Formats: sequence, C-alpha cells, structure tokens
Amino acid sequence: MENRRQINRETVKKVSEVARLHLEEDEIESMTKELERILDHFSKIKSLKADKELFYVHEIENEYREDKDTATDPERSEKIRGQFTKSQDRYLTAPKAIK
Amino acid sequence: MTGIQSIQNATENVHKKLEIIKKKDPEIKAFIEVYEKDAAERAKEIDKKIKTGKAGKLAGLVIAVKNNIAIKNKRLTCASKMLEAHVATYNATVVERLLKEDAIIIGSTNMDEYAAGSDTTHSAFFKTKNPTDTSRVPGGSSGGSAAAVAAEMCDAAIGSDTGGSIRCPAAFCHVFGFKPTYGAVSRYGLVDMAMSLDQIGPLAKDKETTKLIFDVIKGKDPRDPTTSVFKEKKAEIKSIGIPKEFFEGVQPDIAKSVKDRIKSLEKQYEITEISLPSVKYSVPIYYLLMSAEFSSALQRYDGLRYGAASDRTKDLYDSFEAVRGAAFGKEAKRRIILGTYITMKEFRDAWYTQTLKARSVLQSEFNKALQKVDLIVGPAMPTEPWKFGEKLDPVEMYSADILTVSANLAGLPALVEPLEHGAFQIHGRHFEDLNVFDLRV
Repeated sequence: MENRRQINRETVKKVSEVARLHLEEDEIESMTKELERILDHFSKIKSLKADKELFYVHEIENEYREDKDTATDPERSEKIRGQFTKSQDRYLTAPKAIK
Repeated sequence: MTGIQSIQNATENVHKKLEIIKKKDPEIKAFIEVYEKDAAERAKEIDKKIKTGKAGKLAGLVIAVKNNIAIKNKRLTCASKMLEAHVATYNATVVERLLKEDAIIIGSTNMDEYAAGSDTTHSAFFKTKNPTDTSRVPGGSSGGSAAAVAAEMCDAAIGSDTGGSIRCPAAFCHVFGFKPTYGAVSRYGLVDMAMSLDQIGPLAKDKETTKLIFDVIKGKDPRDPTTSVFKEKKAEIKSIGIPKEFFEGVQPDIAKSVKDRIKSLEKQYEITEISLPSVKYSVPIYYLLMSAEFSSALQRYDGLRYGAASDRTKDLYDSFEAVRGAAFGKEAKRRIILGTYITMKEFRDAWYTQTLKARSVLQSEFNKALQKVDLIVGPAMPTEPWKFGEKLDPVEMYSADILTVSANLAGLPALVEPLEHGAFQIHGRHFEDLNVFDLRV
C-alpha cells in the first residue's frame, strides 16, 4: 500500500513542524499508527472518478464591501489588549522572530 | 406555537429553568457557565415589555448557547484549554438577533473541543451525559446544547453543525435539531471549525420552536459575506426520495422506526427510491476536507494575542509549538496533523485536490436528485448513542457520521426529528429550508 510506505515517524515529525504543533514522543508514536490507519481507510476516495469536476468553482457569489472605520464600542480595544498573553505598555510582546 | 405563546411571565420561566439546572446539571453537566444573575435581571426587563405589549417574537424564551459562539463579556472557551480564560468582546450576529427578539440567554453549553467530535467526550473540561440514559453519550459536538434541551434546562438551544454536530446530539437526546442551508445563517461570531461547512442552527423539544428560532436568526449579514438574502422559496411538497444507501449498516430497530415514518407519508406524497452512490465516500470526503480547513482555522492560536500563554521564549516558533502542543487535546491534534499532511505540497494533489473533486461529485448527485424529488429523507444516525468508553478508535467514531455529513458537503438544509428508535432526517433544496418543516405526519 502506498500509504504504508509514506507514513512513518519521520513523516509525522515533519508534519508537526509544518503545523507548528509540538508532539511528545509517545504522541508521535500513536499519531503515526492512527494517521496510517485513517489514510488507509480513506484512500478509497482515490477510486472515485472525478477528473472532469470543476472543484474550484463556488456557487456562492463573492461580495465585497468597503471597510468602514466605525468603532462603536470604545472599550472594546482595551478589552482586546487586556487579553494579550504578554504585553508592555500598550503593545503586545513576543519572542524574537529571527534566530 | 403553543409552547412559545404561553410564556406570559419571563421571570417565572427563568426561575423554573434555573431550578431544573440546579437539580439536574450537577449530573448531566450540560453547561460550561450559567448566567443566573444576568438571566434573572433580563427577565424583569422583558416582563415590563410583555405588560406593555411591546415584547419581541421570543419574549421570555430561555435559550442556551454552544460555547463556540460569542456572547459579549462572557467566556468563549470552545471547551479548550487554549481558550479557557478567553472573554468575547462582542456578540455573534445570532446572539444579537435572539436578544433583539427578547430571548433570555441562560448560559453556555459544553461541546467537543473546537467542535471536533461526535460525542462531547472531547471537551477539555468535563463529559456531558445523555439525559435520556446517563450511561450513554449525548452525541456531539453540540452535546451540551442537546442535553440542556432534553433535560428541560432551557426552552431551546443554539448549536453549530459542521458534519452533523447539531443533528447527531439531537438524534441521540431525542429532540429536534436543524442545520440550515449554508449561507442562510450568519457565522459572524462563531469560532471557525471548517469554514466551507460550518452552519449555526437551533435545537428544541418541538418543531415549532425550532422553526421560530431559525426564522429569527436567518438572513443576510454584512459581516458574513457568505450569507445570502434569505428568500423564502416554498415549493409544494409532492415527492420524497429515499436513498437506498442511507439504510446500509443502520441498526434494525432504527431502520424500522424510519420506515414506519415513511409509511405514514405514503398516502400524501409520492415516495420514490433513489440512489446516491457517492454517499459511500462521504465520510472520507468530509473528514479530509474538514481536517484541511480545521488545521488552517486553528493556526491562529499562537499564545500571543489571547488564549493560553507559552512558557517557552527561545524564539517565536518555539513558543508557538510549545503552547499549541500543551493546550490542544488529542482529537484536535489528530485533525491538525491529518489536515496539514493532506495539504502539504507533496501530498496535496493526491489527497486535498481529489477530495475537492469528490465533494463536487457528491454535490451534483444531491442536486440532481433534488430536481426529481422535493425532499430526501432517511435515518439521522445509524445507531443509538454509545456508552461512555465504547468508541475509542477514530475511524470507527468517524464512520458514525455517515448519514449527516452529506448535508454539509452539499450545503443543504436538514432537519432531525426524534422517533421511537433513533431519528428521522429530512433534507431539502438550497434555501427551501422552510419546506423541511412542512412535512406532515
């Protein structure tokens, strides 16, 4: 099976890095088995003939609107700032982005 | 509309519900928070309006709201450690609309973390029990909402439905539950799970209340561009389609109850057996697509602007990874990994693109069928609710959603009504939501 060759610990580790999601060793272990089983079970969708389908067409009309600056609740930005996990003065602080 | 018009005293109604909550909720655990003081105060205001004859359509009706829908100044947790302390700074559009018609919001209800689950056992806080049999799960992910309705702790509840999250718990707790057409109800203020599938809808003990609440919350919202002006399209119901695929693997007593219900319709409607062959692919299509959208929706939780804080400060990405790894539960992680995997450059064509194409096949199959028949009906869930601890394998749990995911994939309205065994599900055409309520007994 194609999936059995594809899914191993290294795959799951790489995927977790892309997802920015730390997994413990035992989680990598169980997730490898589960992902393999799930994809194996779901691989039947590959047998569905759908080559001619226009999958990117959405029936719902896209509607654009002007963004208006209408702050109706002056306390709201304070409430949002109040939930920053770490802040200094009025600013959000974060760890350094460049290694 | 007997249940609704009889509320002459909002204060009395609120106190009655609070008493039931105090008595039953320590065991059922449907609520994450109960807004006792706010509800009592609001009831007094509404009573004044009732006296002067100026009360809205939902005057005095006590409503519980799933905790992934924003209520201003209340905790919006999604039953996740990530958002345990997060407070909403605004009201969701549905909440605004309920309040405008003088509903009383009694509290926020438990759910699977970020709506990822079919039995509410994936809440990071506690498990909710099924009021009809407390040894069994209430279904999910809107399990708290369905349990609160079933135990009469509220008159109605609001849930969200991405692959059956209103209809599964409605079926399991023996209440009505309705997933509207995609775009019929605003998602503004709903925490995204999978944006092309999510829809907010009502749960209640009777069909009239379910319909009334839908009527209040529906309609265009400039803050959600996927909403449409809700044009009441009402075609006369003449024919009903029964897909043979909807009965495969359904528990015999449930299949019998559903067939008896269909039999009761034979005199009034033309009943036709139809075939929707791609239903057998619906669970993989749904889980792959939902996981791709879910992993993308959950990227915003980085532990900086709100939510759980990271204890690691080496660099930005190290901090993201740590807080996400610590604060997300097992099922949320599983779906993030699956969704990320199938959208990675190396695997995208084989999985994600194929899934989108497969969804189109399923959509056109349903649309074609609905050109021939006015409604499509069948069972809502293939089994009775399982016992706690019974379903541990993810593939087995995902398979239980086979009868509900199609409505989301095709964007159709679907109503669940309880039967003696299991529940009956009625699908209608896009924006013919009102039709599904009109099926006579």
